[in-house]
Amino acid sequence: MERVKLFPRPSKRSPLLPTELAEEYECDRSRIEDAIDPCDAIEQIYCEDFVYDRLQMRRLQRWNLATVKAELAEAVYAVLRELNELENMDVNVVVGQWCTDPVARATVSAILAKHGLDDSAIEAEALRRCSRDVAVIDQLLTSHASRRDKSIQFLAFYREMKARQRQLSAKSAVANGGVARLDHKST
Amino acid sequence: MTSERQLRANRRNAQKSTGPKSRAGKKRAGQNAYRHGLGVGILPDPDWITKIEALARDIVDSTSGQIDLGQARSVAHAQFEVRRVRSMSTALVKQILAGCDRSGWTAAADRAVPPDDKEPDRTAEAVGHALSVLKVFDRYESRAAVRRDKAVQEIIHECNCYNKQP
Repeated sequence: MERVKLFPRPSKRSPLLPTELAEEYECDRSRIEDAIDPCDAIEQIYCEDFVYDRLQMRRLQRWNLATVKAELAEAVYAVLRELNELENMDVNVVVGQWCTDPVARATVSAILAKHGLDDSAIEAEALRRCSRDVAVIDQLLTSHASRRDKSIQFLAFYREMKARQRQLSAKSAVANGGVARLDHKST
Repeated sequence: MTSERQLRANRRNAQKSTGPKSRAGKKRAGQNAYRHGLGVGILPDPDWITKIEALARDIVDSTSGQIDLGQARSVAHAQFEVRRVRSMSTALVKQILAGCDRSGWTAAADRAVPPDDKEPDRTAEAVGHALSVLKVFDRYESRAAVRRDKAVQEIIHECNCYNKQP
């Protein structure tokens, strides 16, 4: 791995990339915070974890899509070449416009149908071409998903611990006679 | 490819080398094994110490003193390790995207028109660069998060009320 420029003092920078919208992130963050409603600094830490992992997962899902999309034109070309159909068409027009032009898309679909295939053959070829990147994205997604789930589990565990602690202190207060008993009127 | 003769000559010459002599050369060579500095903990930077202390006090205050300051410090320190890895990871990805800026990368907020057809190509290019870096950072982030979770777990076990029968 090549040497990277360091940021020895990462102050409170935005976790967003220039291609992401701050309003969207803030809205998402406040919705999560409202739902979790952290009561102390420890809970706030795990809430922060959840927000961060969710942001990363959404980013990786976007990247996954972009990586496959970028390979689609090459995949169209590769599939048509494999089927020996490149001579019968204007390659630049059909391949270049396959993603945007419905006519080009229909032309390719007709050719594929002739060979017993459909558009999924192109998707499969695109996926095969970028499978290395997709595999890394998948690993990272799994890692973030597991950390996100763990943060919620930790939060639940921590809250349970606090609840038990309060229950214990309440019971000991009652046992020590520090609380006046209220008897039911019927008894 | 290097010939056998050249290889022998290189090895002979390397035997004569006594390493860098100048102060700058020594300083440079001293950093040869340095990659990103995430393997070492947070350096005793006064700015960091202040922030860690502030978070530790925040933990103590918000838990009504149920957690003592020493325990809170260890959680705060571990949490800042996590934040440091995240911050560096984001900064590095930003750098990589900025590298793609020459080909017309535009911030989402500054876009007057929807993204063009070439955007997926540029994104894919940036993603390819960023992924290898992110993979490394992910490992460090996981480690830092595990250290923090252990610190929190220690607090929970020290409170010693979870396993007590009410």
